[in-house]
Amino acid sequence: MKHADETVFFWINGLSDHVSWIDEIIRTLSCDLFLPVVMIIALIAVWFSGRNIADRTKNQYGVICSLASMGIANLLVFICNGVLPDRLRPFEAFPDKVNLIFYPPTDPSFPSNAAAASFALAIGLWVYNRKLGYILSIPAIIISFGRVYIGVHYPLDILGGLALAILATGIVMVVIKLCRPVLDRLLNLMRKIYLA
Amino acid sequence: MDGYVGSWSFVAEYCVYVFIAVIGLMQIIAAKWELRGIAFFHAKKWGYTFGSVAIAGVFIWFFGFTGLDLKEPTFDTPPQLLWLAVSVVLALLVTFGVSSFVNRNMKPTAEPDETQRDGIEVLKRKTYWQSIARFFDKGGTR
Repeated sequence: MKHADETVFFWINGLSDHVSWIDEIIRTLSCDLFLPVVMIIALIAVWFSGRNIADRTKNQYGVICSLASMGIANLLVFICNGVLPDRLRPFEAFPDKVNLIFYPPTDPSFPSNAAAASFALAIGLWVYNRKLGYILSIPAIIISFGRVYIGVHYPLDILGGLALAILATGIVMVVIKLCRPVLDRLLNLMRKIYLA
Repeated sequence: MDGYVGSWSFVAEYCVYVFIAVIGLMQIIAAKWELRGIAFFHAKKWGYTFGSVAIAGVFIWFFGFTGLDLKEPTFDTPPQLLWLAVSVVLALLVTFGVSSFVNRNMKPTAEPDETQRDGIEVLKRKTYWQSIARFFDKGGTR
């Protein structure tokens, strides 16, 4: 498993450091300042969108589920970092072999926080709106690929992040089901002040 | 805060980046869903144009012209989320404020079947200020 993980990592990371403008694009797409912001902006658009009130309510539940899943996924990554043995980042484990074209993060490699958060955003929305969920999963996939390309994560870290995102969304779905009356009241309150 | 990315100037640039992007987005939303009460422009095509140019322009500015170096560490997640939230809220407040001023002569109309459940749908017919003022006039019951 570890060998396969490292093999796939070196195959993807080996694509970097050949064409500088491609590296620049992927570095930008992989950072926390670009696609995560795009995803949040997309969620704001989803919040205000819908042909009628039923449509809009469904979308707003999607946004709530998406953001809550991201929060829970971050929490799960934090817990994993405290419980699991630290996995060294690829550039730490193989300092002479890895093309590191990004700043060196200092937290453990497994699981990927970026993958967990971005997939949680996409999966949370997918639960309520399949089409928009698939669209939002595109940036999540790009971020995840990019994190391997730039040399800061192994593919298994990404899969770990994805698993945590699915788990986080599952937890949020249960909570939403239990708290539905409270959330309905909250949405109604927001409607009264024209924010939903 | 140490270095460029931890500096207040970086925080300010990040906030401006998110703020302008959300302002632009809200104009596209206003045009798409015909929310005249929060639109800066009467013609939908100007809403789309302004929104697209604002979003594209601020992304190009932030990543191309602020001196951002992605080989240096940027925000940790908590401060990034905090400044993101602050910028989004500010952008919404400014959108509601500016659009209420620009459309201050808009004649507020009420649909016969308008109810409390309408929410942002009401912004098709009234500015945010007109809507919220009516809400408070009626003691929060509309």
